[in-house]
Amino acid sequence: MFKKILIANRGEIAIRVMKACREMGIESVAVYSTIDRNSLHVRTADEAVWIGEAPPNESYLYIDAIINAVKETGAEAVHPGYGFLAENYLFAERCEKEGIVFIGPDSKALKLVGDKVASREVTEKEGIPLIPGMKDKSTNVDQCMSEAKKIGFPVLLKASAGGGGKGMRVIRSEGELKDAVEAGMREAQAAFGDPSVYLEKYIEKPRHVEFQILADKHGNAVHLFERECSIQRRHQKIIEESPSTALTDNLRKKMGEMALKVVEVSGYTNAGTVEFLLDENSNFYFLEVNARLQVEHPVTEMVCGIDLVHTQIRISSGEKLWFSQNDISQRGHAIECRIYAEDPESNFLPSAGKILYMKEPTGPGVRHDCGVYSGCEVSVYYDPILSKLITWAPTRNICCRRMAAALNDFPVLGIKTDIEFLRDAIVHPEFLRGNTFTDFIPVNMPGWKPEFSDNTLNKALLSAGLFSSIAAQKPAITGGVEEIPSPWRTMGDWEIGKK
Amino acid sequence: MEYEFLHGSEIYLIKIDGNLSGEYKALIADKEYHFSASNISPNEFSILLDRKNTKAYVAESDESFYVHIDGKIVRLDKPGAAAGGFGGAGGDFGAKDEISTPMPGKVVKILVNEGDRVESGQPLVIVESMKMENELKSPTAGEVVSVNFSNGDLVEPGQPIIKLNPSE
Repeated sequence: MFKKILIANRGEIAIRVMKACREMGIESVAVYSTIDRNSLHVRTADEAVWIGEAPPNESYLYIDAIINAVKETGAEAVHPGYGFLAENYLFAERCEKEGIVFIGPDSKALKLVGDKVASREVTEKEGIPLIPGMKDKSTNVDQCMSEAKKIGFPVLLKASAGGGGKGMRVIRSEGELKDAVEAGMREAQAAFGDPSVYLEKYIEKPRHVEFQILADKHGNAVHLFERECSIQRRHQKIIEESPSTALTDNLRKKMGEMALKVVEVSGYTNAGTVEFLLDENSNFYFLEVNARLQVEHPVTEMVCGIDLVHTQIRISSGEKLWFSQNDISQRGHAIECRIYAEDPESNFLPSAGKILYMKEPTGPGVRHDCGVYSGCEVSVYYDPILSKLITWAPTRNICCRRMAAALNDFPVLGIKTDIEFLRDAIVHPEFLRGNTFTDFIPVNMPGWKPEFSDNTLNKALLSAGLFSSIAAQKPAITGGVEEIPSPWRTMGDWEIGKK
Repeated sequence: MEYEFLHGSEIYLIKIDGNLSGEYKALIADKEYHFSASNISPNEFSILLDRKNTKAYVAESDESFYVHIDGKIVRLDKPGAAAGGFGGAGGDFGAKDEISTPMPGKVVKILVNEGDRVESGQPLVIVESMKMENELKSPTAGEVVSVNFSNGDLVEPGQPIIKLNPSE
């Protein structure tokens, strides 16, 4: 087993991995950019190495700097988290050359599954169902136009090199195509350094259902059942759950087997996710393999009772999987809500700034994977995810209530977040019924505004008045000397009913 | 003690007094409230108003107070302080004759030229912030008076990227 692992990431996921390292008796190394000196991941690791300036390509995407940090600290392995270099086969290849273990699939499998067009070819040959789409990626608007006409509108534009919804757009007519393709290519270039895009048939009213898989280096592979991630905004997931309300045992079995087949034909090892679209008639289509630990991995951990990060590390160190498919079952229900610094009232526009105060929710069945704290700055340079709130309960109904209560008792003050929006989504009758489709938000919550009453306003005014009156009576500290005695002594002897 | 808070465009006056045992009375718009309050930690309050339990969290910035009540966040601005910065995104941010971004970003693409006639809701400029592209739309029909930035420029919140002469 490794003695030291460097985590080439930041925020909640870096902290999640560092905690797993600590549990396994492995030392952890953080890397950080200049503006991240005070970030929580730097304070969580055993060691921390500065790797560059704030822009990602000068720090978290800067392969040379990260490799140097590995060598300097004597780490034996690198965990890439998600995003940044997690699915960059050049980084995995470089690690292999330098004799550093990349905690993930090998560079060859990473290259194959990362290239959506190439992976389509391989999977198509094996009879894995696919959505009709372009055979080749493109950077040419005219070529995209003729392909789109062949496929038939509406079409979905995707970045060839990446995931996470970056660069993704629905194009409903010829007139929209040129602007959409150009914007998609720019976003793809900015996010992944490769502007290539491709188009596929857009399926209306689908669900997004994915299967978690684990494969060791000895030819053993298992799946850990599904996660349903249909609740999305800007084509990015914000609520995920397991099990899915849409799967029967039979369909679940079929999809699980298909997921394992994808893993087998791509020579994939470590933890990964096979994404499917499920239509209303229970037809499912293979989308892609996410060759990394997913943001939403905790719901699987809660339901299956398997720690995915521990398992990733053990697989990378050469261990055999110590359980088989028959040992894995789903128990209870888990939901994850992604807490983002963003404004749901303004098209989910990211919101940077200082978190003046926050308090994490707690309680039975509540897990909070968090990357921020009271007083920290949320930077404009990085993904606006702050944390992930996960609840587990024996039934979906209780799980929803538990999540709603946790979101209700989760103050984050000073920046905008999606917490109130998520709470309203969770308690929406359609969500409670399990009617979760990828168009859930535009259909059920268009133009969402937080509910607001005079009662809330009055209580807020009382609270702000209280805060101010107490602050006014606190001793002012100048040069370390208290000038005014205790506020309680200066408050006078006012009593109710006495003039 | 008396305090003024701005919520939206309304100013609210609140008179509040407390005694040593945490009993308070407050006056908001001629309505009197009697309640028990306790300062649990610098930002956290327990309020019993007519025996009903409320947890309140309050934080203060230079311009505003942020209050968390029953799962809702209320921003109360300090009158006189230059509040804002949050505003809306896209179409409804800032003055009607200026297009600016509510957060720092990079101008990805200017979509109009000086002298162009534009419709209300027409995309004028694409700005990238936090790795996402955002279209800033025209809040009004009118004419483009000036374009003050070029593709690739960095832009700060509130800086007018495009100035319009509204025709309405």
